[in-house]
Amino acid sequence: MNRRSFCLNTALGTAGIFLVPKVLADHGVILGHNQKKYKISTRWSQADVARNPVNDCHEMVQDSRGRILLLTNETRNNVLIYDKNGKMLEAWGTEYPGAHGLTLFNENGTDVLFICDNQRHQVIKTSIDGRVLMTLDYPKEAEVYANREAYIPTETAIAPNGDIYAADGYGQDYIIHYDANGRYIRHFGGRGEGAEYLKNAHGVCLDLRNPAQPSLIVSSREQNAFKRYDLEGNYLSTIALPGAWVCRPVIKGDYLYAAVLQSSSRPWQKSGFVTILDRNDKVVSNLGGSEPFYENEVLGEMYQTVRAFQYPHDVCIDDEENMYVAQWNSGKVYPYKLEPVV
Amino acid sequence: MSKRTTQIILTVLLSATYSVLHGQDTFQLAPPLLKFPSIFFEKSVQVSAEFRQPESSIRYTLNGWIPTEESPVFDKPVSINKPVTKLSVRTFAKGFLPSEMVQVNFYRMGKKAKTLRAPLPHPKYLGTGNDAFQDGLGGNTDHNSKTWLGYQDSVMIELEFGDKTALEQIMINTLESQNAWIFQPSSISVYGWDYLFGRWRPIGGSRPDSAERQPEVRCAMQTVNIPKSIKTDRYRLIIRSLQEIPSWHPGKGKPAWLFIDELILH
Repeated sequence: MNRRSFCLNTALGTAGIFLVPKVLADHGVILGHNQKKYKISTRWSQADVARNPVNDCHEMVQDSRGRILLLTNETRNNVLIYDKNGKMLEAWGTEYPGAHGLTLFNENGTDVLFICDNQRHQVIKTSIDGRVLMTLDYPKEAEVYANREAYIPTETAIAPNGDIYAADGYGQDYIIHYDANGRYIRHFGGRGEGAEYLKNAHGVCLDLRNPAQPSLIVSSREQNAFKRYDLEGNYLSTIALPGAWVCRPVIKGDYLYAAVLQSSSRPWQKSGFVTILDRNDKVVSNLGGSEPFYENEVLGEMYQTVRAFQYPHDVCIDDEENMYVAQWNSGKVYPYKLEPVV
Repeated sequence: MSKRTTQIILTVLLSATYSVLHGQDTFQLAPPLLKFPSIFFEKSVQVSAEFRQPESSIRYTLNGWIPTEESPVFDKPVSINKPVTKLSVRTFAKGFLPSEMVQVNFYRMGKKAKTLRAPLPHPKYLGTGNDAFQDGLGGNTDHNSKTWLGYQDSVMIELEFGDKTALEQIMINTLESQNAWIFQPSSISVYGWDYLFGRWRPIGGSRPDSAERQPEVRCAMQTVNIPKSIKTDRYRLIIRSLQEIPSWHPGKGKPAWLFIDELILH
């Protein structure tokens, strides 16, 4: 290299420092399709792994103060609380070895949490800072459980009147309906042949998008489907999601979001992605997954295309439409953050 | 060094530095979705591939080589008709690392036995019964699929052809799914009925390395070549399951499962 070209390089280099990042920034990895595209950051969490370790990151919610709560089955700190920039604010909880489901409910202006613990076989209601308010043991009254071990709750949904719906997703796949005080009302779902039954009822949520007709959406994960019921547990319809092991449904605005643990075409090979449905239950985008396509109104098989996630287990959408993704069995990774691209 | 080369090197260096400093993520693509009725066929089989990722391509080879960006594009069904074909596929797209390679072996079916006797599989993995051995169906890696026959012990299969024939090769498709306690057989012995001496005569065998660790779930074709075959109408196969799972496995010391979905006789 002669002196002249060295000078040229320096000039180029200096220019490059200002130019390249802009170009690259515009070409960051974008995931998703149609109106739902996101830019991913795998380094959102600023938690110190020595102080605040995680094991499986199971579920996430945002509280009314805008903070992001993560539930993990690491009993050094079952609940990690972040701000939206990934800064750790506080942590609590050491008594939830099977911490799996995390649901937030605003009870007359106060945030409360419902934790499903699949090792304790219980649903525990706590204050936002971890004080235990109520514990629901296995529902003997349902007369379908031989013992407490047969009931393995994974997730809850709370109706506006405070009624609790607990999904027994790793047990017998029933949905147990309680009133706000934890009194058993009924159970429905369970396993069987027929559209109204469930297999791996991993998650449940309330769909209040149509105020005239509130309903429940339940994951039937091994059947690659969501199933809709009315609030009394009468089966209404099935949303088939071929190829997708859907975890809990999460509704924000007009859309339904769900982590897909894995693709049926490549089971147990870290083949997860995230799916998004519009209010007509049509898949509009898959983050890290195949572009959705319908043939005669029937959705084609979905599968992972980009290995951005391993086994995503839950999504949380914050008040600014950002998405957080928690993962199961994925090398103890902290959650990722995805920002919408407009 | 030309101006252009210098420019390229600088851009690459700066990009790399930027990626490290700003923690930009680079992701790998997943392999494509392959569709085919079975890995076994009579005359030919059509294989299609799908990968709904914008601006990506699927590349393939049929000679066992790793597909590169120069390999043929898999954009229409590929017809396979050779006795044994190894299809290798990979996906490529700008801005992503290419996918891992996925390989599937396809086999043309051989001679069918007139009668086939085999023990009853385990009640949980009955498949479609003894017909499954020669029905041309199989090759998927889901052990719950009806194409698989599952055994917890060694399997003796007797074949009768009706006419005297000299088998030169026997292929047995087995499943290897070690997380599900399914291992390759520990040994295979082939016998032919010797009418002259009135006894079973050993004519071939193999010893797969079944205790070796294999993290992938895959089909393992056991091929037994019979260089000195005899002309007979009765054959016997003894497929021995692995009696003790090796010590690195959570099921150590316990018997392994043996899964079979097809026999190919040449």
